[in-house]
Amino acid sequence: MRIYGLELLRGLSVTLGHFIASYTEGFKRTFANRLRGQVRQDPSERGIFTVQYPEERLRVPERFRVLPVLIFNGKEGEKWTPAAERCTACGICAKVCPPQCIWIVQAKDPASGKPTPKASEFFIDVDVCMNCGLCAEFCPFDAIKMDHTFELGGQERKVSHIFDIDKLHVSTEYYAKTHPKAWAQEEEARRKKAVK
Amino acid sequence: MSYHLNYLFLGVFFVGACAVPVLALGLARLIAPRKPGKEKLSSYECGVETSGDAWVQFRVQYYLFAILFVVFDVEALFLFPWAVVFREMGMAGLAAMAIFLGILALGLAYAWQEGVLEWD
Amino acid sequence: MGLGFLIPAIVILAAAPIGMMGLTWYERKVIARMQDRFGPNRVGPYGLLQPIADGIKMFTKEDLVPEGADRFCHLLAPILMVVPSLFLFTVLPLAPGAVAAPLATGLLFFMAAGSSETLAIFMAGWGSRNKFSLLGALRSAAQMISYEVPLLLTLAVIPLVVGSLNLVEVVKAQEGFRWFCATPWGLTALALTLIAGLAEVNRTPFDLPEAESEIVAGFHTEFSGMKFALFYMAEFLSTLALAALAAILFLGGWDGPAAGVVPARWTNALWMTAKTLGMVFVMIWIRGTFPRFRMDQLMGFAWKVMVPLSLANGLGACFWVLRPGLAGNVVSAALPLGAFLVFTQLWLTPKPHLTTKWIDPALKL
Repeated sequence: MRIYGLELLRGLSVTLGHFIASYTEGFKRTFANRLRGQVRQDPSERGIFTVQYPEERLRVPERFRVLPVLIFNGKEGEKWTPAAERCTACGICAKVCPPQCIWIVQAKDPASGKPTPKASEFFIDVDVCMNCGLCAEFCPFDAIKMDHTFELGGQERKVSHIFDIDKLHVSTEYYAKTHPKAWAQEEEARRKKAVK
Repeated sequence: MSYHLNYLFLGVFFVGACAVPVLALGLARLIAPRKPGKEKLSSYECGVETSGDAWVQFRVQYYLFAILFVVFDVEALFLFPWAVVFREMGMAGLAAMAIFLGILALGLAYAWQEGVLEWD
Repeated sequence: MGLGFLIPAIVILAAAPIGMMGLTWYERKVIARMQDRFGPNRVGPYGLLQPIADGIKMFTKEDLVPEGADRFCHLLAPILMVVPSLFLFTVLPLAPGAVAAPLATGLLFFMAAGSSETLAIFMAGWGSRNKFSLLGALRSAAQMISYEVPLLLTLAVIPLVVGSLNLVEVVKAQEGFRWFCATPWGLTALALTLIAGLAEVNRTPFDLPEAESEIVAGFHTEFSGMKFALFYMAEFLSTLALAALAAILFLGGWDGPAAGVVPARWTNALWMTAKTLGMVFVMIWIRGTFPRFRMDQLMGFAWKVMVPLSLANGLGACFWVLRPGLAGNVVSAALPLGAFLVFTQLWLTPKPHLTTKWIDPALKL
């Protein structure tokens, strides 16, 4: 013989516990400096787990990848120059790109008219890009890297979603900040190569 | 006097209570857009084409429960006046109602035994 | 005699939509907290303007009547659903003297108005000419008539003890902290009323008539815009009225300690409101906890557990009245408890001769 109904009461106590904890934990978060502004993501924690997106954000992991960007040697806020640019317009990225969303025009020397190892135009159709990261994998010059910017919504498709060479360039400082581990590894590799 | 006044109030209230949904529906009719279309007006069937008529026969078991309900609802009709004057009747009243309810409970037990209450 | 009796009518008709809006907000907030969420918090402070935003949206939505539907039924159903739910409030006393119609048959009137919603639901389901709607309507009819029986049998204990069906008299009998929920039969009756009442107003776990996941909102599948909003309004008003009824019948209604400074009428009204909201909380709490019943469980529970239990509880209340003191208390506690233990066993223990009646024994299932 079983006594029915007891588990119903237990279930009610569970939901009531969550109801109360959502308030007590909320007060703790409001008044304890140590916890303020942190988002709850651990399963052992109680209380409200909602991340209120536009105001609160989760840190994206370093290897999170969205769109490719071009790297130039420089500080944040600076404008890129052909001299600081890493890209050599070799076109490997455009060749490996599975959806074929990269379009490169090689720069020409204005005096001789011969091609120079720089890109004069570089377009990525961000709506076609599937964020696979193959371009970054294959780039022999560490010039194209995957970025973290994911808020790319727009009202139309033909103009603002075709990123040009100015829009694609980010500084090494920015890249070192968003990808500290990868940056350290790359620097280490470059140093070793230079020693050799 | 207040007895009649109460029911007069309910009559007036009925008019007011009807006015609430009618006004809401009327206002919505003025504001809401009206763009009917063939696909839009076909009756909903999870997105696939509607097949067959919805007005069909349904299982008899609903009627069995309805009959049981009528029996017990009529019983409740007797139960309420009895309950109001229960204190004056005392044990005799309890015995009388117990016999009445007992017969009905036997009927329910019989229906249970016969499997009427099994919904399968 | 002037037109003074119009005032309560206007008050109820004006307060009901506001109360319904507040209730939607309250329900969404409580449910959200139970699921570790915030609930609505974008429209206005604490999301308080959310119901208004919802209302505006409902007003501006197109009203669709499916092809081949019974247009008259389709239009009349939401109206017929709202009217009785507004009538429920006419007999409920808020404070001494603050009741629209202190009918001598108040409790019976409440039950009659409440159960007439079944008709509107069936009209909605039939009038839509949709298979889901018809299923929902049939389920609704079966469910509401099944739970009507234990609800009536349970509520019969009130006139049994008080000697009146007038809800004002019921509260007066409980004044001075002699609340019925403190008696064994009263506590059982409160639980039974809540369970059967939830089934009557089609709330989770008894929301089979409008189960979204299986019959796509059931009887109101084909209703949109304001008609849909009226169904929601009726449902929430019934919920509110049911919570108020439970507070009046078992929690002493307006009875509660007065603050002294403010007039007693105000504290009374506050107590009544607080108790009603408390009962609503319990109903939301149940919704936040339990999944939906299965149809066979639903019917089985009504007829095999609720009906015997309410009969046993009524018998216990009779003894409580006739033999005051310890003996009455013990009997009125033991009877429903024993009935609960026995009938849940009978209900849930598998009975092969009944469940396999229609299956060929050669299949050896």
